[in-house]
Amino acid sequence: MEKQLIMFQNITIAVRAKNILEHAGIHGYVQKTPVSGNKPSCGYSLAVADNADKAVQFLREKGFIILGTRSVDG
Amino acid sequence: MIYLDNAATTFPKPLSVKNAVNNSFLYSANPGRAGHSMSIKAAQTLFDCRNNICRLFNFDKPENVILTPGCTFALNTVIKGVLNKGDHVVISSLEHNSVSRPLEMLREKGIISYNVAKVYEKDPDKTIDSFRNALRDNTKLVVCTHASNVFGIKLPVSRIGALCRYYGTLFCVDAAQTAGACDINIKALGADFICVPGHKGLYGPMGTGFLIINSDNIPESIIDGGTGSGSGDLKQPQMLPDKFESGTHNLHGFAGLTQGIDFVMKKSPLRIAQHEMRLTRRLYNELKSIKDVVLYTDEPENDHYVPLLSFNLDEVDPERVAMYLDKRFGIAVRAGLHCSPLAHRAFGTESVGTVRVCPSVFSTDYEIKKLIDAVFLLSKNKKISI
Repeated sequence: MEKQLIMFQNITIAVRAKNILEHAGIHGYVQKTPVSGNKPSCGYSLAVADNADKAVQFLREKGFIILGTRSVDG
Repeated sequence: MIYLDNAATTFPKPLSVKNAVNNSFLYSANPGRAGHSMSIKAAQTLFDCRNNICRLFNFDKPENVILTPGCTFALNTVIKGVLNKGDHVVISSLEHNSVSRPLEMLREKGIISYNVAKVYEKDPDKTIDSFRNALRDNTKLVVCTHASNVFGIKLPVSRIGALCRYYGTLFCVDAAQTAGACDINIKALGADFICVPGHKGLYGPMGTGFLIINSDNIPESIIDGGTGSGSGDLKQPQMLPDKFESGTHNLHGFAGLTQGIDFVMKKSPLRIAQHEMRLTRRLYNELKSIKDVVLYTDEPENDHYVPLLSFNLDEVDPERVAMYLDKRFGIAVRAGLHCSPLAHRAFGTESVGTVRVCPSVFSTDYEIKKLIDAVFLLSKNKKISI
């Protein structure tokens, strides 16, 4: 099943995003951001199955810095 | 044991704190490093701690809560991370060595200079004048304790914060004796930095503390290393909290601190302070009636003091008083200078120190009565064998 990764700089921000989205009814889980190209990111992402666009917009409105989004199989 | 040394470290801890520490060993992976579920759970535990700290201090940026091994570490992070050559600092006359020693080290190296502003008991106007007069054109930072760890005197920190904003000076508050015993709203306080121990009024384990950064002036890091983030870059990450949290966290300690803060919030700092102040006032008034007991402040109340007090028994070494209380009655108090020579200098007690008594939320009238009776007995027979 495809899921969207919302990528953050660190785990603290990723966990904060997860908690805030849960209050807004959007559920996801924190995972390490996979390697992109040939560079390990050492960052963390929030994986969401649905409502990714809504989640990104919601988080940006809350002032979150989002490094990007990616579709991955999982 | 009747434990009245809570200004150093609170004892006992709530059962919820002990359980949280114990349970954290069931998932004690390294937080913020790996992606496996145990590591993520550990990271969630740290986040819960930051979140509880935000709730307690009415703050809304959990990533600006820096978890440290204690208040001293937090103060050093600010002092050494903010100051540069030629900067001037103002501190109060009641500072702990956690403030005065790092500053003195920087002064001896010729990096900074600092002034000491005298604190006037129950006279905030004079205290504010004192701080204003100590400021210079190159004053970059004002650091002061929220309340003396020796005499319990509170400083008018909100007004000092306003003074700092007016003069464009950074303001750092050492809340070692007030966190958990006073309502602290960091925004109303006007502080750029607030430094807090976890093991005192927040009833967490030793080895925990934190720094709240409420400022766009982010200090330089004083410890650099692995953070689990941006690992391909040899430069220290600048994002918070990672910039200040190199190395593995004290997960067990912060799991306990989260519950300690929960405990404090359920009781409320105001109610805790009322209970402790009632005991402190009883102690003050009873000690006052004992011949040869020396007290150093006016009768404490919550507006101007935190619930702790210092006393001496005329012609008796305070260390002997503390030993007598411990060995004969099982009462734990702390004697000496309490790591605050400036405060003792301000009260003329630097050559001997004092006996300090500090109740906690768990202290009882019975325990205070036992202490009063024991001091009374000693006052009647100062040569009593221990």
